[in-house]
Amino acid sequence: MRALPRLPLASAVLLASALHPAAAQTLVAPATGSGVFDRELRQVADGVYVAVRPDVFRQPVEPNVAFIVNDEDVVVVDSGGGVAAAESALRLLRMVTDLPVRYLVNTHWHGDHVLGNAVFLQAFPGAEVVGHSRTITGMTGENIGLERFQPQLVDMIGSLRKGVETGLDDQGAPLTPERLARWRQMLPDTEAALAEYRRARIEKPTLIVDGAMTLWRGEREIQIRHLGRGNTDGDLVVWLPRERVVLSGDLVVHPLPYGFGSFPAEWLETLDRLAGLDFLHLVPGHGEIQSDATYLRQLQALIRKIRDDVGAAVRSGASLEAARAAIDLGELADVFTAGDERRRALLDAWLIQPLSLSAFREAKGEPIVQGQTG
Amino acid sequence: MLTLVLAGGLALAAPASDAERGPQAKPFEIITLADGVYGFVWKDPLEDLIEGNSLIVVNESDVLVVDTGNFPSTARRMVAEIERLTGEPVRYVVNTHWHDDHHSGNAVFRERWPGVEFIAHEDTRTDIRERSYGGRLEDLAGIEGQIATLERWIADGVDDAGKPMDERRKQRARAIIGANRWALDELRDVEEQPPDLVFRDRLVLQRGTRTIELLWLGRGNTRGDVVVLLPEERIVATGDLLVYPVPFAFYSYYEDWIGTLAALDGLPADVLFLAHGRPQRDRAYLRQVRGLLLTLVDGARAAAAEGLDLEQVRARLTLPEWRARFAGDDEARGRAFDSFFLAPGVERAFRQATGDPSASSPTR
Repeated sequence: MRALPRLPLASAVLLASALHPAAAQTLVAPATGSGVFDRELRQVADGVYVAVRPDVFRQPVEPNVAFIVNDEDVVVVDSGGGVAAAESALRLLRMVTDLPVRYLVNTHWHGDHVLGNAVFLQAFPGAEVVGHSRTITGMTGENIGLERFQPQLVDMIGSLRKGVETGLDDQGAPLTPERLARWRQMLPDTEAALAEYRRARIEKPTLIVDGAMTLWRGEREIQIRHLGRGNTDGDLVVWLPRERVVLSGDLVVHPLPYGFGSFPAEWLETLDRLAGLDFLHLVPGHGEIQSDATYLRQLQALIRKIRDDVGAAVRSGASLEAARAAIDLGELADVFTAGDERRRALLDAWLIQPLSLSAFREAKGEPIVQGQTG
Repeated sequence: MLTLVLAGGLALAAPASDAERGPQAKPFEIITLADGVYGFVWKDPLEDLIEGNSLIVVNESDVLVVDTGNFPSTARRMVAEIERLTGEPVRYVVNTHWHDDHHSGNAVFRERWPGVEFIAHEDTRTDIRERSYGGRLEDLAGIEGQIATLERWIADGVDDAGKPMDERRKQRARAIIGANRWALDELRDVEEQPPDLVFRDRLVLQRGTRTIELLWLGRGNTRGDVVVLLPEERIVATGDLLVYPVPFAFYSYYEDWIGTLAALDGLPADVLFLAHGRPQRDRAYLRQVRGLLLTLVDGARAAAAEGLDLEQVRARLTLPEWRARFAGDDEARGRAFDSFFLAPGVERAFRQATGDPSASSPTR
């Protein structure tokens, strides 16, 4: 997942969906200190921890940051979406160990997984960032879009502030108490996101692995592997065979998957390889730690259905718009949304819209381009 | 790799002068290959105690070293040279393959630079742990046995073949005994430090504008040979995939090696930095070795097809033209060709040609 572009994207959906009007209230939200980057630490196995951002739907979204604490050093997986995010993760790391970070693995190029790199490198001068060569490409230039997304965030902050002050949405409809409450959180969160974008510094991986490497730390084996394209063109997973813990990056995101610039056919195969690892714990890129492959298989079913429906539509000459209209998820969507309207809107924005574009391009034999997700 | 420790083995005809100087004084030179890229190169690769060359790559804020030598004292000499070249710490060491003369100095490097990480092919880590460390006591016993044999020859005044030990041969034997005693003390001091970062095909380290590629091009000298390519500087460290003036062929994968050398030939490099012998600045020697391997593999295959036995194969595959090309009339080189290439290579290439599964083992 790119850092924050999801925020303008997904929020646009929410801002546009005027729900039940309610009495206007004038509320002043705090401008800073929203706590959006705060994390909690969960232990997965002996010496294996995950710093999670508890509310997975809150934006900007933040990934699971994992710590593999070895006898003499620490391997970190993903760094968070900026300075504040990385610092919150780092504070938790300091609570469990004084050992230095030696390697920081970037599972893929999206900003929420890599924009905290600089914080770790500054705190640990001996640290080295590990990534796929395509992760470096993604972190270069327009894709990561630090400058590009700032105007969108500025606009969004304007809309949110106006809504919070007047109690009316962009269409002039009154905000329900629920929406108003959400906007009151989104305003400082989005301001915090903008501030993070403005101070972010990109540090790319310097140890590049496109196939597989393994770190040995005493008896602990830490495999870093590219299992094929999927969520992006350069996903790495981290697999601890002894602990039987796998860190999947955004190949798996719970409970609502992301599909920005993904590769539907290859993603299905890559998930098969992931399922073949015989894990006890799967730490997804975002969301709850999984203890079996149930969710992974549900995710595959969802990807397959979108791919099949779009593919069939393309074969009968459909446009992208018509192909999207042909997607019929039925009850499959409920597995992810639990019938919740907001979740359904997020599933649409985070997975169905971008993945249907990928499936459309795939069916037509056109390239899937990282960063082109509309 | 006992054989390499005792290069020249029990052949006592070689001059004693090198060994008399003492292995600890074995001369090396530092060759500058490019800005910040240095070779630690032994002057005479065929001296009694074989040592491996090392490549030293000094980056903006750290150093990468390729191979750490056979003896702890050698590694300490290398450490001192590196400290003369730069104040930056060694952060990565690449062990090109599992043979002792390429990794026995690892612990010395870690003692000096605790943050150093040792990189190798995944099979090399396995072979270092199982074969190199696992076979260490056997290797030491073998050296002790050779010392005892030479002492007996001196005492009896005659060797096992009945050839008299004249004063020159006795002097030579004493020199070898001295070198071996020195080596034993050194080898007993080797601390285990296996690679802790392994890979299969390719890793790239980016150091500012410098790119360092670690590549596995296929099996060859061993099953896990890694080459280190500096594409900007156009230098490649070949490990023992290419050794000068005669190739080593211990427990190798001769048929695969031919293709691996072709892949090496295809790399963008002007300098081939060999783990033994002088750097090569063209591809003539690489192609000569490849031609030798082609002849060996073809000969072994033909012999296997004809149903010859090992004795017959040894008698047939003496490769005199190739021996002349590699050794000329240099006796030491001729002996090296026989004992480092021909003897181990013919036997195992033949077993590989007959489909003997044990002939793909790292040590049989």
